[in-house]
Amino acid sequence: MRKSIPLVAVVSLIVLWSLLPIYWSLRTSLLPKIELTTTPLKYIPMPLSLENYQNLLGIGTRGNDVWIPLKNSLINSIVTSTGTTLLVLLLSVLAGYAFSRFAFKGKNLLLGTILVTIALPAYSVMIPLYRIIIRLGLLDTWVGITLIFTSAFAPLGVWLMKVAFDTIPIELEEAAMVDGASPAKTLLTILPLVVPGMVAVATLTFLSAWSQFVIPLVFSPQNASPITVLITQFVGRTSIDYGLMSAAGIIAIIPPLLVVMFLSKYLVDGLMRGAIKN
Amino acid sequence: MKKKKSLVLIITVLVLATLCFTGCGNNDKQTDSPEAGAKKFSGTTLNVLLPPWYEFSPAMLDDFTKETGIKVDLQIMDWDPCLDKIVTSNAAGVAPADVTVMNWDWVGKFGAAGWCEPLNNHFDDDFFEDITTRSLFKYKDQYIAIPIYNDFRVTYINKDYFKKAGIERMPTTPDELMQDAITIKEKGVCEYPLLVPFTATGATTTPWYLLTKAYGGELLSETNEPLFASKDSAGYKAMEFLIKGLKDYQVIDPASIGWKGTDVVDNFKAGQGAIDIAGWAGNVSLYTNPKESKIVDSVQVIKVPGQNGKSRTYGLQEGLSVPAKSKNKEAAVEFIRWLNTPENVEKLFIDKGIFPNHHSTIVKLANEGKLPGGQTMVEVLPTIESLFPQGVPEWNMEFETETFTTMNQMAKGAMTLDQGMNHLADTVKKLNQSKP
Amino acid sequence: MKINRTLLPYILIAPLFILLVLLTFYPLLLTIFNSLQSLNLGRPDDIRFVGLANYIELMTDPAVLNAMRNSVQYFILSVSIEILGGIVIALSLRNKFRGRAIILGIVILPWALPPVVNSIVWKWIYDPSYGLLNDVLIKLGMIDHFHVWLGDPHFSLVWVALVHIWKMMPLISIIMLAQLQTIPAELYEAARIDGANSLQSFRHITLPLLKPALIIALTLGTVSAFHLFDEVYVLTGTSLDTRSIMVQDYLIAFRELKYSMGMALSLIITIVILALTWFYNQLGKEARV
Repeated sequence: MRKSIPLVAVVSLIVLWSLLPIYWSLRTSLLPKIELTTTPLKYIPMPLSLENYQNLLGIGTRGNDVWIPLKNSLINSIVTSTGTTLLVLLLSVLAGYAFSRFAFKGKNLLLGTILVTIALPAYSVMIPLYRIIIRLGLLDTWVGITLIFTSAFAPLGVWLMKVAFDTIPIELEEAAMVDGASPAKTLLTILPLVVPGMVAVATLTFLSAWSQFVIPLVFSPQNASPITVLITQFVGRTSIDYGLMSAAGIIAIIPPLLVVMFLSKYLVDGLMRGAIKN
Repeated sequence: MKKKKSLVLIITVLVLATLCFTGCGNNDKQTDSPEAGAKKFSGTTLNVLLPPWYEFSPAMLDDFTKETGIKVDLQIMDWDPCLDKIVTSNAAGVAPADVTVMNWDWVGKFGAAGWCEPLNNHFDDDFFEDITTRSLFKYKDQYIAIPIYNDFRVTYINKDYFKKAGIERMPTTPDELMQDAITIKEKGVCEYPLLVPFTATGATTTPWYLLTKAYGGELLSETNEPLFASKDSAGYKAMEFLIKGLKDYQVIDPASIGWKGTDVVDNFKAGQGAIDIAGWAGNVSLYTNPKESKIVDSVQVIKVPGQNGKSRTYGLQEGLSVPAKSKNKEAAVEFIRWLNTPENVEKLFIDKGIFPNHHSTIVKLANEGKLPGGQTMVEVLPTIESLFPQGVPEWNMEFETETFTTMNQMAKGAMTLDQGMNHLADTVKKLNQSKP
Repeated sequence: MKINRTLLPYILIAPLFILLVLLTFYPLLLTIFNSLQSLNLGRPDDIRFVGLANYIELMTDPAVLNAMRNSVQYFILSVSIEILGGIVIALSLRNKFRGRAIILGIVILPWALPPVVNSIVWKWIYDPSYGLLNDVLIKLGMIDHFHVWLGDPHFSLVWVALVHIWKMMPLISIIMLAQLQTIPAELYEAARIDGANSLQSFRHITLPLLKPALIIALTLGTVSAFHLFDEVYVLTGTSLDTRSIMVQDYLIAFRELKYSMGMALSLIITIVILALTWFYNQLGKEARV
């Protein structure tokens, strides 16, 4: 590659920009509490202290006090984020396909109405939504929080999937239709071609759901409470346990990181396949 | 019909997907089968919403369940989220929990909104008589919460730095305190001896409110008119003390513009400062803990220095209230009553540092030498005043936000002292007019 | 030719639409209705219909105008940097090289940080006494004394915006990258044969074909900039220099308890965002000609 030297420089900068703040947080989590307010600053966590991680994982001085809520909240986060991702994928593939491939009455109006909701701040519907969720008996449940997340993130998914379907040549489906394939089969024929789009939707949805704070705080405060809500509880009345919060933050990054690494492989594969085909 | 079917379909798909992904994950909310017996509220599950410093031990809550048959579901949330949750639920016409935390400065607003069950009839006069700080939670002759946390402010001194600067006696007036800070700075002992926060967050107001009392005045009149506008008022002098300390005498670190209340504590315990002027009484145990603090042997607690040597301090009490929409009010009252038994009040103090409000407990702990800070705390405790003796104004939350935002602007130099004080006085006048 | 089955598209959209009706449109209608009332949670008995009075009062309130000005600055800063950075990142990562998958993972990482965690991370970078930024800049000789980054009346907004940009840039990058992948390599091949240099093929192939992604990216950048809340509130509280319109809305609705007023402001924010995104779409249509 003739452009490789500037490329290496740019990529290194990107990596530094992305990782440095996270490294700094890792350092904070690995320093003994008293070293955080010591100058000169320690760039490397020496003396190393695993106390925060031991406490989080239930093998430290605090016993299971932190581990049990941490474990529960991680399960809650994983379930609601995964459930939301699957549901958003399903709904947005169906709707995206409809908006991309069909001409029907009220199409623009429907699409417009769905996309407009992306602009709504969470606060604008929170209190009426709270009443609805209580009436449905879904307060503080996985189902309730997953449905709310889905209603919030699916519109973007629809848009992304519509764009993805738009870029696929229609000839492929026409061929399938001529062969007498059902609509479902036709959709399945071209689905592999929109995998990069689906990966983008899945990644965005999972990470958006994972990051939510205000919505779960109100709608799943306890039994279905996620890791983001738990982290803010590590505060004392007049002191904040930054070490423990940073350590919990580092642990909270691991599941989305795994998802990203797993999915980015498909993002790369999608590209490779495109390149080979061409 | 079709809509309903689709909804059922969505939920089914979701539930299946959720189950697939968790396998054995369980999230059951089932309560233990109610204990047999004639306990009045046996089998009730009580939802309790509190900030992290009330994380009662499971053993303690088990005791309550054994005694009454009531199961406690304790929900812990950080302070701001707690308030958000309480407001959101009440706004939707639902109880946020059966027992919630209540701050002294929410009383005006929550009382007017009718969100809290009046508790007068649930407890007898003797009960209230023993609680020294009960009036803080009074809204129109009704107690809408029972005090639980007796938060008040004292001044912490790093006596090593005072000694190094050649200061032998402890300051007894605000002006002496400032003079000492200047001396400590001039002698090169410590560059920024006075620690106060100046971010636009809650804790920033405390030093001003406290110093206004220390200078012998009040913030508002009986009719909630501002008393701090004229230059010879206590409120003005208090703010001048803080802003001059930062800008003119430079005994306050410019970094304090980025400090919250917790940063002051962190800096003081790291030995980066000589005076924590509006320090929380409970911090005495933190400052003397060698695992947390570098000033274990040099910290000393004194009464907040006041004009003419007369120390004053005010309470920032937290209480427990029962939301008006709660369906378990009687059981909630039982829980509050149980927390207020002499044994539990003492236990909460020893285990969790929750300062008692009960006069009898304070006397007992003092006699047994269990109050940290010794004689100073004992002397201060009975003198705690209300910030607003006339009752907390309904618009206090707006005033508080405007106050710390304005103090932050003055500290940054975006407003002068006079501009800031005039702005705050105007704010109070406007808030008074907006009342119906 | 499009497939012509009348009912099929409606059936495909129905599940999503029903969910939205229940959880978004119905609450939204209630909110619009409430925004025309005088509901103050602190005075539950005093509910009157006031028409557009809340909207008019908001648009003349100096605190609201100040917060709106701040949010417009967040919007301009974030969107321009995110789009430029996003394009650079997407272009650098479009070609295959060893370790690309790992680097892609690293690039997306900041987006994985919940804002709650993000704010703690940056606290220890901006901290005036023990922060990384001061320490590094002093060591590099770029500053001579510690700065209170978040206490600077002129630049604190930029520092808060940077935290937001750091989190949002990965999202913009992945959207760009997903779109870049759909551009067939043969187009570039053809352009090269016609003697186009890389700048020309970027201008004439990449940019036009990137347009759908660009519009999505602009929209998301705009929405998130106007919705900015957690980072501002955790890092600088209610400071006038950094207070975003969402923080102002929160103060009105959940601290002052002026519910109708707060709902009206949240709808004004929605309208501002919609106006901007409509503008992007018009721009996109014009560019096609």
